[in-house]
Amino acid sequence: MTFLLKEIFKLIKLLNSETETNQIAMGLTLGFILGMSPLLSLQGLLVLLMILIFRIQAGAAFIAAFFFAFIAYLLDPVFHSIGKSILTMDSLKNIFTILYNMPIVPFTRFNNTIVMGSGVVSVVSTPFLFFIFVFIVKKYRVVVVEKFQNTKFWKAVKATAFYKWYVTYDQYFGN
Amino acid sequence: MTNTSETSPETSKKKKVKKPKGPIRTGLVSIIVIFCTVVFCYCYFFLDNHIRYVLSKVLTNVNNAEVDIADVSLSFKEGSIYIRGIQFTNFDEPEYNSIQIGEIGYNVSWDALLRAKIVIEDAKLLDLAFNQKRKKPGKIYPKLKEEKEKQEESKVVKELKGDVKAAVTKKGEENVLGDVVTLLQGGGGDIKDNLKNIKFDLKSEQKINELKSLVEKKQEQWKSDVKEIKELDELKKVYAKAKGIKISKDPKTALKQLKEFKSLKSEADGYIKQYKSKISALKDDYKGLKNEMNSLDDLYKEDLKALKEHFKLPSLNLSEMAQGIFGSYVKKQIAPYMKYWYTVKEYIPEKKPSKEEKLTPHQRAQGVTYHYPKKKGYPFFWLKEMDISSRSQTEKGSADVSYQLGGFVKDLSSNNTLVGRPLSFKIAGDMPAKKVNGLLVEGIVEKNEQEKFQAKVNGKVNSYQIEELKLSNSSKLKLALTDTQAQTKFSGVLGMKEGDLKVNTSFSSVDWKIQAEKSSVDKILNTVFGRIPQFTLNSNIYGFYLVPKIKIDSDFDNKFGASIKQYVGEEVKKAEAKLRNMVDEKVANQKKELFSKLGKTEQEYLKPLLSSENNLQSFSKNFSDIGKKLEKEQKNKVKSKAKSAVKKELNKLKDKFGF
Repeated sequence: MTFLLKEIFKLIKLLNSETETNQIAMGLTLGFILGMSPLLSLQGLLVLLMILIFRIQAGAAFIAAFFFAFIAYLLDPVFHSIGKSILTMDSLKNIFTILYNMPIVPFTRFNNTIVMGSGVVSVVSTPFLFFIFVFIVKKYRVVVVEKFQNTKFWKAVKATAFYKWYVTYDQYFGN
Repeated sequence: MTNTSETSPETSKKKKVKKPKGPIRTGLVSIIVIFCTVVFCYCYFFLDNHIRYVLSKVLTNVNNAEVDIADVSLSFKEGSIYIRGIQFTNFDEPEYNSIQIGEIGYNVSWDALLRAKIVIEDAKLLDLAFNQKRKKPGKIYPKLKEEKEKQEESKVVKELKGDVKAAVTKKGEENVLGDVVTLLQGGGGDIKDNLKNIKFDLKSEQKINELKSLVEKKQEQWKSDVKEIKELDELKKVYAKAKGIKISKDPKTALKQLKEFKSLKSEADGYIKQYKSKISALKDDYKGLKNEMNSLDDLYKEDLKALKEHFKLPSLNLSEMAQGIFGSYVKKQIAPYMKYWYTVKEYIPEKKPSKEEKLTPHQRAQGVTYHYPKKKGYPFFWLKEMDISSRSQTEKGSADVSYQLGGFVKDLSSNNTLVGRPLSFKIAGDMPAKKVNGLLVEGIVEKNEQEKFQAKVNGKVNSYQIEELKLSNSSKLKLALTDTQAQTKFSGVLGMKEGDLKVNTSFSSVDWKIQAEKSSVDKILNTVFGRIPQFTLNSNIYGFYLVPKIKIDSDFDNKFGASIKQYVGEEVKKAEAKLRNMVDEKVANQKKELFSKLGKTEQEYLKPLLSSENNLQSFSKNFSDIGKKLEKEQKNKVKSKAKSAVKKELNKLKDKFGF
């Protein structure tokens, strides 16, 4: 929980800085995959491991996973029909039979229509989503952050002793 | 000094610039690596020892006495665990081990584990031994032993023990041999000469008394009925009245007279009906009594049988001698093994619906899961092979082997259809200390046509020695079979509730040990049994496990029967005749009296009734004749009157017209 909160605060800070755009975009993208796939699947655990090992913005990933899980719930009928059409394709039947008979692979529950449908949709849309998220983050910094920093309220906050103390603290102890 | 203090601002800026971070969270990864290393080291250096320690403590607690484990080796790579040198201290004799196992363990298939299945490639249970001496006495913990023992003795075992014990006591102490001895001692010498001296209610005698009192009671009623039927007073009066009617010439009066006759006839019909019903009731009474008299024969036979039992007069059925003598022995030998199967089969899973490997969707809460044909499937549990061996010396360090057994269990699985082979097992070996050679038990467990599990077993013991087998232990006769060589073969099918096992046992070099109450009997039996040095027993044990039925077929019957018949056959006949005479003496007179009474009834009452019946018939006929006659007379008179009237009128007309 501490790790999660820390990562969320970090996300807010990063969003408002001018660095780490790719990390945030990748976090949001992987969060999208997590949100789309049902919980406790093997591929979900793999994505989670990637978020932990690679320097990907975990806060962004968890927030995105939480947000996209709701969307995925609404999209379940679409995933079901996509998954069903893939799983019943005659040309793929042999591959699925081999996968079904392999060790570990069946734990991914690939033979479930919703898992297959959501998996395919998330994997196919990942590259596009990454660039879209990069664009959105950059746009956010220009449109929202710059405008906010020019407001009188923020200038007043920056002038306070507390803010100066915070900046000094962040220089020494922040990441 | 000046150089060092005069650092330029550019250099200090460079120092402050952080090194760019790589794509991997090195901090987190290093924590994971350290954790994994620590776990690996623990498993590599300490886990085996800790498992050994915990297992030893747990088993000691279960055994209530020290349990030592020499070594535990666990391998994640091989998926195996092997435990060596397990010694269970005997609670009652701490210097001995109750059970000792050289090596026990198994290795599981990783391929199956990664499919969430447990497949044991190879299991071992080696050097199993019982009651072996320990190097030093083990510690014992007596606290909860008594309580545990009470709980362990299951209801089933109790029932079975009781059943066998009761059967053995009953059959072992008193069997058909007791009857033979009774006969040899004088053929039912206990039968008292006078039946009046003993308190014994004969059913036939009771029945005769009942019938006699019934006949007496009925006779009074019959007497009055017969008198009434014989005289027919009422009917005769009505008949006289009817006969006295003479048809008048006046038509109106004639019609009245006819009406009067009809009412008399209906009155007579009523009487006739009443008499007839009385006659048929009397006849029925007589018939019923006669039937009751006939049933006296059956009661007579019952009385004889009851008396035979009362006086313990043996009914010598030599065709079932072996059944009586060896039944308890076979039950004692087989029942404990039946009990094991009864316990084991509780753990055999019942039939599960078979799944067709088709591409069929299975509806779920979310989405649909498709199943593809399984090319490499495992059942949930599969023990491919388990080697078992057990060997014991008579004394530690001695070369003499107490017993040596070995075998295997193959394909113990939760789904043998998927495995393609049934569960099979085999145990073979020798027990030299008990003089048992060539022991073999093998079999398979599979599903039958009704999809229920059943075990097909067969086996043999090439030779074993029976030191002493008590066949009769009554006060009259003590019979035992000593120092006998035996050979057994068995085969059968054991179902879920019932079994059918055939056991063929051959006994040779039989040494009979006979001790009878009377020396004369002792002599006869020694001669008879001396002619039976060998015999075979073909037993069939079938039915419900806890109360199995036993059918025995043996050449012992013929061998024993041929010798003993000459001694006991005549005695049985004599005793039976004696009993028959006694019953006859008591019952015959009364029976004769009853029959004579019934005969008298027939003479006095039934025969006269026949003439009365005829009278009634003639009365009935007479009435109808009178009726016909009166009707005819009335018709004729009316006719003649009409004719004369017509003639008179015709004459008047002739006179008027002058013809």
